[in-house]
Amino acid sequence: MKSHLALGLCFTWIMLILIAPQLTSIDPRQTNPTNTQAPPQWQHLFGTDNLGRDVYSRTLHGGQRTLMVSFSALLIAVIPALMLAMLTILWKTYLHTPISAMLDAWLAFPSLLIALVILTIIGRGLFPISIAVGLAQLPYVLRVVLTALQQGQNQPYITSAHALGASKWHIIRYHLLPNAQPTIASYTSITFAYCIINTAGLSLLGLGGDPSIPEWGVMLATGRDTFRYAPWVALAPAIAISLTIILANRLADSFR
Amino acid sequence: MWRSLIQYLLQGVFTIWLALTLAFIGLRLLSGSAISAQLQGSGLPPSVIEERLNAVGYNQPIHLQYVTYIGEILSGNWGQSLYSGQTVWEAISTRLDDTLELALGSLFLAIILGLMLGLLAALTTPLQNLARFIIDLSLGIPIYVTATLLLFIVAVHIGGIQRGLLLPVITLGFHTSGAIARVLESSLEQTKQSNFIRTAYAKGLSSPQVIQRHMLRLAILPVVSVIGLQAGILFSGTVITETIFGRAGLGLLLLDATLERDYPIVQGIVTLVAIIYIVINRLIDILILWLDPRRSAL
Amino acid sequence: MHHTVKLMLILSLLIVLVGCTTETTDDCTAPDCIVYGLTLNVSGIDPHINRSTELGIVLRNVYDTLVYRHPDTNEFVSGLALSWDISDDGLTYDFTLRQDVTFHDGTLFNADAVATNFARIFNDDVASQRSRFLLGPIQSYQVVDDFTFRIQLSQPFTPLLDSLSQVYLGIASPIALAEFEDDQLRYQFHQVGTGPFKFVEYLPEEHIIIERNPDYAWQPEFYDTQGTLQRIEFRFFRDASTRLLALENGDAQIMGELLPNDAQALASNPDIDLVPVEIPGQPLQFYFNTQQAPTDDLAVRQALIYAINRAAIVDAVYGGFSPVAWGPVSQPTDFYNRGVVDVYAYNLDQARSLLAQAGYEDTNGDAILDRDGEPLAITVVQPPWGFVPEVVQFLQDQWRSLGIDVTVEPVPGYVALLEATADGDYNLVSFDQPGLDPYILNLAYLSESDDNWTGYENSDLDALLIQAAQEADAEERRLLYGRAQGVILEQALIMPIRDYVNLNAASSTITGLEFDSYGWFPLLYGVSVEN
Repeated sequence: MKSHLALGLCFTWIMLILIAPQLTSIDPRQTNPTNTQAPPQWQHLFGTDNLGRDVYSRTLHGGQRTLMVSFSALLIAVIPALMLAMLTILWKTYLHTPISAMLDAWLAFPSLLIALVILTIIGRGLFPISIAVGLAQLPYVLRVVLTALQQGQNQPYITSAHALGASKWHIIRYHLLPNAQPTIASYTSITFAYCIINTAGLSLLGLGGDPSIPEWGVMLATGRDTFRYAPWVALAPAIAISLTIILANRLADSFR
Repeated sequence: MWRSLIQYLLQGVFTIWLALTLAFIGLRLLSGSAISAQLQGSGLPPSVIEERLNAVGYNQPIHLQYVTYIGEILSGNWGQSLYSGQTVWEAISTRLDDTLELALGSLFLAIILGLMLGLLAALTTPLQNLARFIIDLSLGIPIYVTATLLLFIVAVHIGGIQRGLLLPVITLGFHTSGAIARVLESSLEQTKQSNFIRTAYAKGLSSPQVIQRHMLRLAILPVVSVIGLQAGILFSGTVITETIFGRAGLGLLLLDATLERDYPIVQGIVTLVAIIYIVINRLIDILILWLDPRRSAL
Repeated sequence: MHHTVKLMLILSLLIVLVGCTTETTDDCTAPDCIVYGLTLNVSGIDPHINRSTELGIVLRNVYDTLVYRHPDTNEFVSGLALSWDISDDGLTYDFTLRQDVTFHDGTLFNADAVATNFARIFNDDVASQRSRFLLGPIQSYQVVDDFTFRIQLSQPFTPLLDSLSQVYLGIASPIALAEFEDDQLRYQFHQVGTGPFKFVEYLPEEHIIIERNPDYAWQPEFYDTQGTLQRIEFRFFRDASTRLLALENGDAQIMGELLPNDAQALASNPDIDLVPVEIPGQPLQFYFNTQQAPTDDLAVRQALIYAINRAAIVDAVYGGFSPVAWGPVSQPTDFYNRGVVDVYAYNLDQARSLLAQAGYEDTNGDAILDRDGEPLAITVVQPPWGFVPEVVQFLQDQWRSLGIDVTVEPVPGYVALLEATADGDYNLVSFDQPGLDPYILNLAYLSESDDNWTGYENSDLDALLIQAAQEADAEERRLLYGRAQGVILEQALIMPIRDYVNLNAASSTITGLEFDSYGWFPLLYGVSVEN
């Protein structure tokens, strides 16, 4: 019951984000040097930013890119992590030592450096940023998934399934994965949050993409400088980001 | 016992080597060099620039550079910053203080807060939903938003607080606590359903007793390993918090050194962070063994 | 052991660790000590080696130079050199040095000391980034007697006096330099000059501390000797949005590079004074790459400038604190050519017709102009400093409405900027240098200069710039540099945006704060703190 609610809300939210650009006729990239940092008013429902752009329109347009970047980053982090984790369990004798050594090295490696190297080499588009953000999260997801899967292995019923002649793949598919599902779901939602936040963090460090393209995280990062005089610039994207993350968390909860 | 200890050590050394090699490859993939950048437009003849590149060895074939690099790390001579001339260790150690006090302070806060929030979120009490909401905030609000809010709401009214340790510790601690709380929460939920807890209830133990005696013991294990991961992140420097609160920590040093292609410094930080990470997480592994009620019962 | 006890043990261990590392580092509590906020990370602060302006903010007060420029008149006045004599052919400079000067380490200043400094600057191992360039076509230097120093040039080089007045040619103690002969980079942590303040400590990214030199009695004529400031701690405030807060909270007493928003808010704050200072040199500008289509076409370059409303952009981004820039150098620069004002003033029709004349029209209805099937697309390399990103977003939008497709390539810093432009694959890049003498133009526009971002080669412009550097007569130089500025604009090699203004602010308890002719560098000797 509760899970249906969370799923429905998430679905509605994504739909809203997808159709949002239709709800405004104002060009989100239209600057106006004579009307900067204007407070919310009828023509500009959420006010204007430091370049005189309409914050309402930018917020409506910004969701798609935010979702796109963070979803691709999430996929880049989670899918390889799941595969690697399952492979490790399947071929434990061969893969466990090299994978865990690699994992440790990756975790021990500052993720800022990973992002810097990737962005310098392959440029600053939507995709490079997703890769940079996703790859930095990958080892954490891998470690959590691996631990969750391994924990299940010690359960008595797994040992008995083994004794009954169930294949390794069968055990993973029907016992270990369902057992680890809550942990994986909740960590995936945490990772999703990190992906959104880190995308914005990169632009705060001057490593983001073209700042004129509306994106919630970038809006939030640039809204910082005007926070004292025009708090509305950061307010709408902040609420939108927080809502997205909270909904993702609720959705993850519902998988328990 | 001794065998597994040696195995642990070897694995640690291997991991550090892997991290170093990754750093070496990553840095060499970046074009541009500190030397040519510094001397652009300096009016120096090109021969001088060549000579400088030769002097620091960046004109050598890549495999020779790698050998030299590993040799230097092993010999304990980690090289000199190409800008400040400080030895890598000097440059790092002046920053380490700032990073350590911030990391330890916020880790401490995060553990306390995270355990409290996680417990409250897992138990059916009136506070459950509030705790869950706070966890959501901790995970869902970007760290620079909290930092900015704290600065412009708290620091405006309390002078002198801006440069202290308090605000950055609160900021980082709060945002680290969410992950700890969430793992504890889901871990507790899982434990709730496991057989021996049902047995405990069946034996007639009251809810707080069950939580304290049995559930926490088991549920704390994944939490401890998350704490290890978070500690690793905190010790490698938290560049955004450092920038906003004007702290000269490892994160900023790493960012600047990478942007300026100060290879020796970047390599030094990677080495140090890898060592810290490995040590913390090996300690955590031992801690888990020590804490695990199933194992200590043996 | 009981489980909770174990947890408590671990937590208390953490507390102890926290306690061990926490220490207070508040060095500046005395009444005559102030905190001065620096805004950029400095990668090195040796004036002979490095070239940042940040280092000069500190070291202008630690070193004396042979000559000074009077902050009010820009005239050359005596510093460590009492007087100088220039031969008629402009090739020989004889400096008569002061005899009453001692370095902070107590050693005597003389011609040998100057020679040691020159030797260091010309030492290839030192790899000077700026000071060697400043000395121009120097052939030799010699110690004529204890207090006479001679510079021999191979060609006339009029900017020499201006160079010698810059902090990058500050004179350091030979004893101190000798100590770090084998490790030149380390001298920056132990600097010894003759200036009004002594160098105390440099901790990278943490602080630089200097304290008053009680023996200082050889100040240039314009120094106010009534200042009481004893000690200055320079700290780094890299996050622009918290700089004003630091001033308000008393965490800093003087700070540069405030946000224009914050500067506007200061109008109603009696406790903090705004001290805007105009900076001579190149304005904030974009170089056009004349070797890359479509900016290889003069008409396109001109159209791009005509199409932007600079007054509105500058007003919106810089809060009305910066004048619009029209030419290759800003107003306070020597030999600034007034004729540049309003050249390429905002004129959309002109921009459109230039593009049409150049053969650009929208043939496929995609709102982007094209010529021979090629869309009109430009790439802008965007560094993060000086509000360039904000400016670029305005430019992008204004150009877009004209049918120009703009790709922005953000770079996080200087090395990345060099990297992004190394292959010549860009149309515009933002870069500028401060300087009082327009000699900085030679670096940027001479055909073979390795800092020529425009790729423009023109022997006439080269001849003008070289002659202007050699000409001794000031009025002749004004004409030559005036013409050079004209050519640069006619060819639309740059798109100037705004004259640089450093928005400094100081606590109202600070009196006597002045900046030197170069604008960036405060003269802290005359500063007092009222209580």
